[in-house]
Amino acid sequence: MGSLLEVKDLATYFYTDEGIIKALDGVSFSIDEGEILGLVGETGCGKSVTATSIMGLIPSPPGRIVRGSILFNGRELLSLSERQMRSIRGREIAMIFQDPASSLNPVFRVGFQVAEAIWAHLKTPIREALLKAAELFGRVNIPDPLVAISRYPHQLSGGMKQRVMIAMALSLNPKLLIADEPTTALDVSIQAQILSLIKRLQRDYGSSVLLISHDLGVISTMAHRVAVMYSGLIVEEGRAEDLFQKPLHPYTQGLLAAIPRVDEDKSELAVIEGTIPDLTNPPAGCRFHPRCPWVMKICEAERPPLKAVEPKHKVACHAYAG
Amino acid sequence: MVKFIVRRLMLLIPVLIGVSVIAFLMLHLAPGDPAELLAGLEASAEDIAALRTRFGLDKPLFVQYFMFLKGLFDGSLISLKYEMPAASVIFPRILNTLKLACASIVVAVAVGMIAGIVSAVRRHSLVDYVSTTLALLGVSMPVFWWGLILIMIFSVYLRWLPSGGMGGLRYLVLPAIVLGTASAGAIARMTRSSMMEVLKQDYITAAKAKGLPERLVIYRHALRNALIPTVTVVGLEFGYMLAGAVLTETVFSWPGVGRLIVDSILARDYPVVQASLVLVAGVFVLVNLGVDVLYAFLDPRIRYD
Amino acid sequence: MTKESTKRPAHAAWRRLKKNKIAIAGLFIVILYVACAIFAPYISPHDPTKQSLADSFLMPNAEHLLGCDEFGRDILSRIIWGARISLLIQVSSVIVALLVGISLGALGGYYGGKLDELIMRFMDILLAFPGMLLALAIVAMLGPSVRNLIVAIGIYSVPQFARITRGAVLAISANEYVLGAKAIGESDLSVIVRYVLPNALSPIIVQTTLRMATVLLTASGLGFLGLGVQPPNPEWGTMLSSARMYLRSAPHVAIFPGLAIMITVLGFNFLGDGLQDALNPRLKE
Repeated sequence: MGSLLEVKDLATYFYTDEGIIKALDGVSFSIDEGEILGLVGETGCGKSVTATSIMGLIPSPPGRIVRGSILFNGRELLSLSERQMRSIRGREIAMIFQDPASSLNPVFRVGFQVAEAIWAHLKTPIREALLKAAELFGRVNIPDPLVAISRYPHQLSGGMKQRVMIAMALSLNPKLLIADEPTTALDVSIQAQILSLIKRLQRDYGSSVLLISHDLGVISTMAHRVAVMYSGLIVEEGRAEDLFQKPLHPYTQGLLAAIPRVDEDKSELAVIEGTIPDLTNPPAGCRFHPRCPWVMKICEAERPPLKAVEPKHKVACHAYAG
Repeated sequence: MVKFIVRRLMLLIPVLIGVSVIAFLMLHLAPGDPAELLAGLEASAEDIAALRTRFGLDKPLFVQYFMFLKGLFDGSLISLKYEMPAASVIFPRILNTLKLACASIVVAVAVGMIAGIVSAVRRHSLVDYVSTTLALLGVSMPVFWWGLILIMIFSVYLRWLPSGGMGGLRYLVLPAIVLGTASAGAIARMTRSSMMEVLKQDYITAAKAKGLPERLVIYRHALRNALIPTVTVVGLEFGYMLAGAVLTETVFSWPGVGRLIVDSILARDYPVVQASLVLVAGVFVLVNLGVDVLYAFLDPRIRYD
Repeated sequence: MTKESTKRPAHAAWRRLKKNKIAIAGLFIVILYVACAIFAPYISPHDPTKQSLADSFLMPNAEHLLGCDEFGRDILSRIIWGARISLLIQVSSVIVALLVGISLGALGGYYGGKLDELIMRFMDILLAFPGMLLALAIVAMLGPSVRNLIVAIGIYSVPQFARITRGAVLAISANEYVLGAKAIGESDLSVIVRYVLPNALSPIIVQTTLRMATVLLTASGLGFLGLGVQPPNPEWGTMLSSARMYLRSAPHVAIFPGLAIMITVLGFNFLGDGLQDALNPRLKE
């Protein structure tokens, strides 16, 4: 299977009064067809900017993609016109957002909002599109779909709203689904349901998924492959089992050590020392070096490249050089 | 929805009672003997005594209040100047003001909303700067002066439009522009800021992510939400016009209720002043109620609570 | 927030305000206006009330920069002295409104319940008189004089301040540090003054500035109607009132006082908008 999405050296900057925020500064990764790639990292490391950059929805000004390439199905998304991009958005690449409560327009009925997505691409009459929406609602396990389509967002629970968002995302059978923290805003009891729904639909539809989360638990149950992001860069990437069994990058090791585990009798949680770097003025060299337990001289001067040190397992760290 | 309206109507009752009490007390809180105030400076002692019995000023205050309320409705509250029921003096004037206010609000909404939307969509562009500056200028302009300036230009120099009075549509143009200017500014400012606030919301990004064209995102998804706070301002402005038209009516000799109140104050025609205050406040709170209903209609979160 | 931490936001706000050119223009206009009011006797070229019928309707010239009015009085001098009357009315009536409005709002918000209900219903009643109608009614009742104008315009501005204060008090008095202060036995008054009001400060500052603009418009409007400051006092609205009779022959008599009102109001609005952005930075994108 070939790559559906190939992101290379992507850099997105935000030009603000306080300075240039280098939210992404050379991100590279790829997603194969039918694959779930987990993108994991702390809040503010650039995960969501990666998603909006792929969608071509970086708010501009102040944001701008300054270099790199996003190849989707063999097409360079960065060279497409707004019009061409629009025909991809929602149809070929769809997105599920973090907070379903704020991603649904409060003044329109949810059925209409799903139908509108179908109408936008296929020009299906709205009445027909509404029936399609009801059908989709059934598929994402919303009870009484024909009633539910005429509800307003505030009348639905958080879990139901997220199901609506998923139905909307799947309405045009997209090749790639970007799920940006799809369960973060939901109750713990609902999270598992939503995740298994996404997994099931991914299998049924054969879509690829870019699953963004700060939660390693979510990533480990869902992803085939994992990319770890730190301060606007990918620091490690590999198959899920490899990465979780044998994390290479000190940051990944720190993240994994920070998860409380039932099978271990540890009285204290490990935490990564230090704070997330300031993106307007990031540290020189390896951006992790101020927090790194293994820091060497070279780390302060030179940014380590992301390269394979084991089959299908890449890491950006000077400790693995040579 | 019906329950909502009924509940709001109930809330209006104490407000209207309060308004009528204040209007009633005006005469009594003023320094001096109310009978002398009513009678004027040149009145003889007999005149004053006659007025005192005619207005029941010798009766206890609360009895007088009920007489006042009753008089408002059955016509026994008589204008001193026109010698006819106060309500009959006021009613045609309110209609005149309403006519002016309706014309003005149309001007204000059209100009203000378009300017506000364009500003928000093309923010930090030249159009935005020009329109926000003009909007603030509109809000800062003394209406009476703006009226005089327009009269100088369009009536005195160009002789295109009449400088005052009431008649055909030509008579309505200048007063409607003058009265509508400040409101257009206020509406433009509100539309711009609420539009900008809405454009930052996640559901706008989500709407774009669906692949909707920019035009639909702005005019369907954003505008529908931005309208909600704007409608409040429009309603408030319309209410202000009903009474705030005093100055415009004075400049253009428009026989509206605002002008009537000022004339009655100057003529010491207290019954008319009092009755006008109650009636205008009544119209104002009803307009506000209408706005609340419209608001609920636009926002399903309120409609279905 | 206690004293140390309110200082730093003030600095930050000033830094943001300094960057806002429009707000600085507003500040400049306001300073100029206040300076005119204070130094009127020293800077006005002529006596504002001295009549000279030979100069009536004199067009602007080197001696009388803005010309003369129907009685031959120097318009520039009258405008400069007019700033004094307007500022007096603005400041005093806003102080009246602040004192009454903040007290009522703080009481209602802090104690809640019946008292709050009562105060807010009363504010609703005052707000039921649209626009300047309330001020008009009060002046009608008390008779036109500068003092009565101040009272009338002060009362008419009370509900705005009461509502803002109440909102801020409600938002803040559930906070833990306020509950904490109450728990260690501080008196209600001290809790309100030391903890609650400082947090209502920025909306009150913004509202005060914007209200100065409204008050000036209202006072000059009343003057124009003949119900405000009485002639021969040089109040800007009052000046316009007589000028409208001579629009055809002497437009300058009407133009300049109106410009003075507009520029001053614009100044307060510029400054108020700037303060709003500077004090609530999250409102800016």
